[in-house]
Amino acid sequence: MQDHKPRITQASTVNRRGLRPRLTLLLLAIFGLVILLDLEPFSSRWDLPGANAIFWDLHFPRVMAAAIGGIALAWSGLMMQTLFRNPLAGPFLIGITPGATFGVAIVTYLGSQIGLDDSGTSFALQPLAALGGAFLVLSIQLALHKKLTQLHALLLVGLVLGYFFGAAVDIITQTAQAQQVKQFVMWGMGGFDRVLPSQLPILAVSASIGLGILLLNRHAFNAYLLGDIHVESAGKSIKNLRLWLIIGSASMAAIVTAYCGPVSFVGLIAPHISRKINATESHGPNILTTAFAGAALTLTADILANQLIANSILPINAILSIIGAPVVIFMLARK
Amino acid sequence: MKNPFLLLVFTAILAASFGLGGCGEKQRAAGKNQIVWIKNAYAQFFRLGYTASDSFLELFADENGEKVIGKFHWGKSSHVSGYQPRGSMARIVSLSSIHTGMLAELSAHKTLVGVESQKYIAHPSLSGTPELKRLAEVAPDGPIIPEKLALCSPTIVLGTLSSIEDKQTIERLSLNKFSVYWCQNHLENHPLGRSEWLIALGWICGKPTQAQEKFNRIRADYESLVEKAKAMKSETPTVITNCVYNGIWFVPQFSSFVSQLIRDAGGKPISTEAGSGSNVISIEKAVGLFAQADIWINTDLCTSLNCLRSSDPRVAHIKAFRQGRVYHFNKQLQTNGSNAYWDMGCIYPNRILSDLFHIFQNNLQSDSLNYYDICR
Repeated sequence: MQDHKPRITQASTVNRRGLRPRLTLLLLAIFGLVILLDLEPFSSRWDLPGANAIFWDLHFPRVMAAAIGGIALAWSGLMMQTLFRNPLAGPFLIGITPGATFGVAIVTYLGSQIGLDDSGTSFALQPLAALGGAFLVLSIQLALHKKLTQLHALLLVGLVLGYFFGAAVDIITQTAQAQQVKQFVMWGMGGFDRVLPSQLPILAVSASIGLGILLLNRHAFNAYLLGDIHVESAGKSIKNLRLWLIIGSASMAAIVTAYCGPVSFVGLIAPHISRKINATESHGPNILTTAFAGAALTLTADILANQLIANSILPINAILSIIGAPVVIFMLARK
Repeated sequence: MKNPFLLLVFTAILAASFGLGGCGEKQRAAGKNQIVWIKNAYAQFFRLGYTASDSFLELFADENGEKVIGKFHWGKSSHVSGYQPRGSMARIVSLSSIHTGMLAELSAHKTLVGVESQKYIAHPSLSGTPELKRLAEVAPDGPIIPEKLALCSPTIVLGTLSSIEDKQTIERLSLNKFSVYWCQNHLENHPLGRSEWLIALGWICGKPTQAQEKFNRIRADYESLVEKAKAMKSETPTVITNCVYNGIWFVPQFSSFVSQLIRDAGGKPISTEAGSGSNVISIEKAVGLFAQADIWINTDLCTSLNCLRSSDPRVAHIKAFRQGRVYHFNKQLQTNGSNAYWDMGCIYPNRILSDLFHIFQNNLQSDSLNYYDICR
């Protein structure tokens, strides 16, 4: 089997395979610290009457959703950057978010016209609708991926689908009532507060599937980064690899988007942080550190969103963008 | 203006100024006479003033009256420095269903040629009538359509400053063609402040006396209900408003319109801060804060407990939900989306107050509520 593994020696950024223990431990410590800060297990407010139920029903699911969602989005970003061999790719590049947004717009705005009795049903159906929309885009991408041999064609299809569903949402919004627009805007702001305890296993399963795909194909993904010829020389199918990358990345992004709304920047930044720490593009070491980096980012954003301003909550996407934009610019400038 | 005698005097001055207007000497400067400004009872975003020959309306962008966004005059003087003439009321376009409702309330809706959208108008004189069908819709599904507004050939446009895009469109079209009144009634914190805008609209459409009388009746009814609520010996219920949207809850601040109504009706609003806006808090904070609330009102589009549970099942931690004391304001919601709570409720806050008073006293006869109903 060793003979079939691609030798990762040709590109300097893919030539190391191991973790850097000290930096990885530092990242792990940061992750531990932010999860502790966000969870506040020793806070005196949990001693108040009725607080126990609030902790387990509202607080714990929020923090866990932030952690799992961050990990899933980070892995999704790692896979998407591998798929396009482009460090600026993110999990939403192939039209997943516009697809999910379209699904939510349909049930929110047209719910009453398609037989949903009241807005409560629309609320309850939002995650399913988002999933439906995201998987619709995924199906189109999968149907086309065999015909589209060029990567840029896949990317263009994603962009075009994004524009198409964005336009459809704009048209549907024109018919909406003010309260429906409010509902829709709130969904689009993203956040982990909305995640119910019963939805945590779904997020965890999606992240586990992504992890499985990454672990099983990590050597092939390394070869893919070096070029198609390296994949073929290792006896792997380019199309199959791309298929796994699309399925893994899009399904994780779709499920997180469905339950948490669109959460930006994590998928873009976390793999960069990880690669910086490990000084390699090799997938083996980056799987672990990308997960820590993604979770640390979303947990930090969650802490800031909830605690920066008293008696108010800030949009998680705004915080991630404020953290993310300078990080990306800094990294690009350093390169 | 709390003295009824003074009120009568001002009403008489108002009537006299309008009665004399339109005839007599032109080109008289108002500067000769000092303008006597009327202090409003509750409204803060406009003021009316009078001289012997003219009347004046000033509109403000802020509650302190520091930023003036409109200065109009009407009367014998054809020109008053710094003030625009009121404008002919032959063709009015109203961009808010509340202003449309106020004009209809003053029987001035015949002067309307255009509205924002027909579907949100709930006033009984217009809703579902051929009269409404006659009116052009200038912003039926979002921003103003410039061509539609221009085709109305308005003489007066009643707008709000809630959209910069609409403001720019109106200002571009209005140049020397029509008068624009930016009415910021939606920013008034006191319910009677919003209702008092009837007087400003009355001045614009030439029915000031009728408007003043109508507002006086509303105010008297509202204030008597407040006194009645104060006199009640029962325990003050704690009240929460709004509902959860994807893990987020909008909580009105202490001095907001809704909090004022709750206090006036004998309830105690649960708010997070002083101020007149609202705070956006997470469902986690909301549930912690609202767990012991007695009554839950204004559940937006949700009209059933099932709907609220579907939006987030964790609302079951709230006492009002468990006890079924949850009320929505959609009793008069029509299939086209119009809801009398929003426009008629602004004109007649005494009716909303009456509903809340009955809800807080748990005195719910079948016909006692105007806009509210229980979530079943």
